[in-house]
Amino acid sequence: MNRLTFAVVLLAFALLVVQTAAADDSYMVGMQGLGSLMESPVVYSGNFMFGLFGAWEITVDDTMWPDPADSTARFNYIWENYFADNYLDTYGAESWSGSFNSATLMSTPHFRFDTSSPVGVIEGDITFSILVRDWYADGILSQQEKHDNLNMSATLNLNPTLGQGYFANTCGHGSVSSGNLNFHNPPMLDNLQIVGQLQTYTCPSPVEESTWGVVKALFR
Amino acid sequence: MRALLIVIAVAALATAAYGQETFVWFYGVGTGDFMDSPVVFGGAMDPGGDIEAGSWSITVPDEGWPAEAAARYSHIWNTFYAPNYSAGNPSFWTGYFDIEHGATDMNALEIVDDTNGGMMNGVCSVQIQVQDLNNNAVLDEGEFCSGSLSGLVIIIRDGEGVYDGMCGTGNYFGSYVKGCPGTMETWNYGMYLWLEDCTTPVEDATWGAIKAMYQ
Repeated sequence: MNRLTFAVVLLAFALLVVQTAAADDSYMVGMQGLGSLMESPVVYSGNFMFGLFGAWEITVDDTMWPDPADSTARFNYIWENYFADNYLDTYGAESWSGSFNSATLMSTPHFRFDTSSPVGVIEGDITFSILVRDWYADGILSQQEKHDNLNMSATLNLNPTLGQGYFANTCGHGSVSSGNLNFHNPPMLDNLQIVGQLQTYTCPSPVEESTWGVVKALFR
Repeated sequence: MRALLIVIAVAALATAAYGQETFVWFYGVGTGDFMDSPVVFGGAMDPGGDIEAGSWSITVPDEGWPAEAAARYSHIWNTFYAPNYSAGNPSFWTGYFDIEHGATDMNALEIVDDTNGGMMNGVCSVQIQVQDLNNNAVLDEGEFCSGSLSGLVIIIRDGEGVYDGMCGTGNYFGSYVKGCPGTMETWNYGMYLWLEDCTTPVEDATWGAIKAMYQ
């Protein structure tokens, strides 16, 4: 099945993955857009295909990364710092993986959903990993292996203080994945399809330790 | 002549590895417990995907994990979650179960497809997010009862039936709910796989030798 059409099939998949037991609202989302780690700033963005209506954006802090003008230097930096040391030599599954999170970047990658239905904003952290298959099992990255529609998976952490509109003071979490990331040579934007699930709930009232201590002191 | 042979060989190898893709997806639901040994998450497929009848399992290698419950729980937390704390609002821990983050081996994945008749094996990563809801950098009661998970998948070329000779890559995303204070987890996820015919042998030495000629 063509990668550009498989998301249509996923429409039938809506709501199946989401467990509602611990959530007030749950969404099965599909997104389409453009972006590349080879561009600076690193911004993946586009529109929702289903689940929510509106725009989405994922930004990755590329401080310290070489300028895209020297694409070779930039790719080599990314490769050496995120993938090269993480080689899996299991027979038949030879591959590299790279983790992009607060430990490997200057700041945690960020996501923002500007939704028109319901009207609001959801923002927070996104922590993701990318898989690069070593199809030739030789421990050497080949050109085809760099842009073979790499898989990405991620977890989302909603920041309630950044929520707006319908999502003001909304807590929650989610996870998304894609099979369309690439390191094209020469660099070009990836046409991404991302699917995932999101669970939101109204944040409980804050319990401040110092305040609680004061309350307890009243009864001593 | 040698150059021509190299071109032909490269073309053949490239074709072998980058042939026509088959997209397969399914919805999985099941249970498991990191406190059990072996650690096996498994269950069935739910309707909606290409595979509606069948089963799946993800086995997390627990070699070297303590058997005693308290020690085992601490080992899991301190090895896979605690080192991966991200400050935020809320802050959160990310549990990575893969070789990159301290596992002794990758998680074994098995998918039995009773809808189309076949079976496939592979490996996968497991990424589990735990939110620090009160931002105190301490795992409190109730903070590890539900959340989201995701992972990356490699299907190895040793499948059977309709998956005979196929290999590929994929991903999954979903959520977990724990029976707090119990440790049994229920996983719901969607998994997407891109498979291709890998029956043409790809010999490491040959490809390595070809590339070496250009280095």
